[in-house]
Amino acid sequence: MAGRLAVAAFALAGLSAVHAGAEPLTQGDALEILERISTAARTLNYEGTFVYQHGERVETSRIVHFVDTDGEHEKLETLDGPRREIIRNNDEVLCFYPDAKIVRSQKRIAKRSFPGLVPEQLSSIARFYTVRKGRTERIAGFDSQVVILEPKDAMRYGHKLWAETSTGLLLKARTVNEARKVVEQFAFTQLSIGPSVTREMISPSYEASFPEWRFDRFAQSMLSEVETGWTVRDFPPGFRKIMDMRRTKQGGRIVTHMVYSDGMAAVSIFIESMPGRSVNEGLTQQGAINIYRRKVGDKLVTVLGEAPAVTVMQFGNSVAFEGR
Amino acid sequence: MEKLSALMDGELDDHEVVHELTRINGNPDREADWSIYHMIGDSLRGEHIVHDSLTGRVSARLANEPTVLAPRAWKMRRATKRVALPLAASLCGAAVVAWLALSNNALISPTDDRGENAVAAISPESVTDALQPGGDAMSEYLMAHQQFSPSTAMQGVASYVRTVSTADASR
Repeated sequence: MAGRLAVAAFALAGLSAVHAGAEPLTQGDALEILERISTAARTLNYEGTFVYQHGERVETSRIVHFVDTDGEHEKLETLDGPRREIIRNNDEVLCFYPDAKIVRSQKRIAKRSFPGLVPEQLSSIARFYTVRKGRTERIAGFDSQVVILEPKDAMRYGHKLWAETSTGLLLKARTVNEARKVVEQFAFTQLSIGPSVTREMISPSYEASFPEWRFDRFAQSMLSEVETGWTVRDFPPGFRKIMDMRRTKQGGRIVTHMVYSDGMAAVSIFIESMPGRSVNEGLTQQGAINIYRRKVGDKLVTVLGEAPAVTVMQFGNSVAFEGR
Repeated sequence: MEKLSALMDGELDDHEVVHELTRINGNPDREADWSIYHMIGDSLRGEHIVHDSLTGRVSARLANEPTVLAPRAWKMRRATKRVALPLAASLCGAAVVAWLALSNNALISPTDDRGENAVAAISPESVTDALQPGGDAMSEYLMAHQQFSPSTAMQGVASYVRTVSTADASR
């Protein structure tokens, strides 16, 4: 099977070379551009309105990013449909669902260094994607440099990025499948960068301590693979495991969480005891995210990631328990 | 089998199309093959959404009647693997077809022992929304996933909009 996929990968790589525009960037230049985008996202003050497009849906949200001596603060409000608000203060993310009176909390343990978390992932990007510079295009009133990441096999999506010329801030990001169809797109429609962004703009509309609200904490602790006992025997090329965790849901349910990444995409695997209610197995999709569920013994395995269905399913079908 | 493939690819003339459609219509096995080929085609083109609900419904049905359906589903899986392979037009197709046949097992067996089309027979009420991206459990997982996604490193909390998207919440 792996052999066949590899052959398919080469066939695809051959095809994409035919459509090549600009010369591919060297590994160093490619990573420098991506690094610049990531640094801009982390260090700039900006506020704006962006649209998130997936399938035939378009949703508009407002985002503010503010940096001070305490670190990073971010606020995202959805403007369409039910009110939702996400607040981030450095490592803690709070997600408010005011209509249902629910707040979800997660503390991030990952560093924000891009791309990926280990140096090997940097070489994954260069090995599994062809990176090219495109034209200069205007987005939300700003000039931007187009950067194209073309996958060399069918196990990952392609990306087109529009980075603001002077700062590197990502103005637009498009994810395409192997048929070059857009599966997901983020794009600013209005944006201000710099001093016009003030502290008041990041103050939350809700509080986690509101009475009558349900507070869901999804706690996490780092573990080694040996400790979880779970492994993935045959995962797609280019992906590396970046994390093993044990999570505890509100109410004490234990969930094993493993994360793999190829530098541009991440795939998460969640393993838990079968819930009492009935669970649908199979594949579903939202934008670039594919979700695949199956039973393994008496456990329920949920795999999700911004990767093609074949990739997510390969992970799901090779999950195995090798512990005691 | 070659005829089915040719029909899908639009390579038959009008007379053959009518003949082939008549052969498919009313024959559960051929109808099953027909939907499998479309699933494969859609997968190759990256259009999964329609069949996601289809496979979900089929598997929901299988879960409800495990003793009746499971052995037959397994046999069909083996058969499908053999017939589907020669049909694939390209190397890439061959890989994905074989892969789907191997991994989807029960999911791509849309007939039951009564010979009726199980896909049509399943009532929508029997499907829970536990797997829907907008569902409660899934948004928790999406949120947990998002912190490790390189997209978050590149665009900050904007990528978290996936976790609160209302795409399927209304279902």
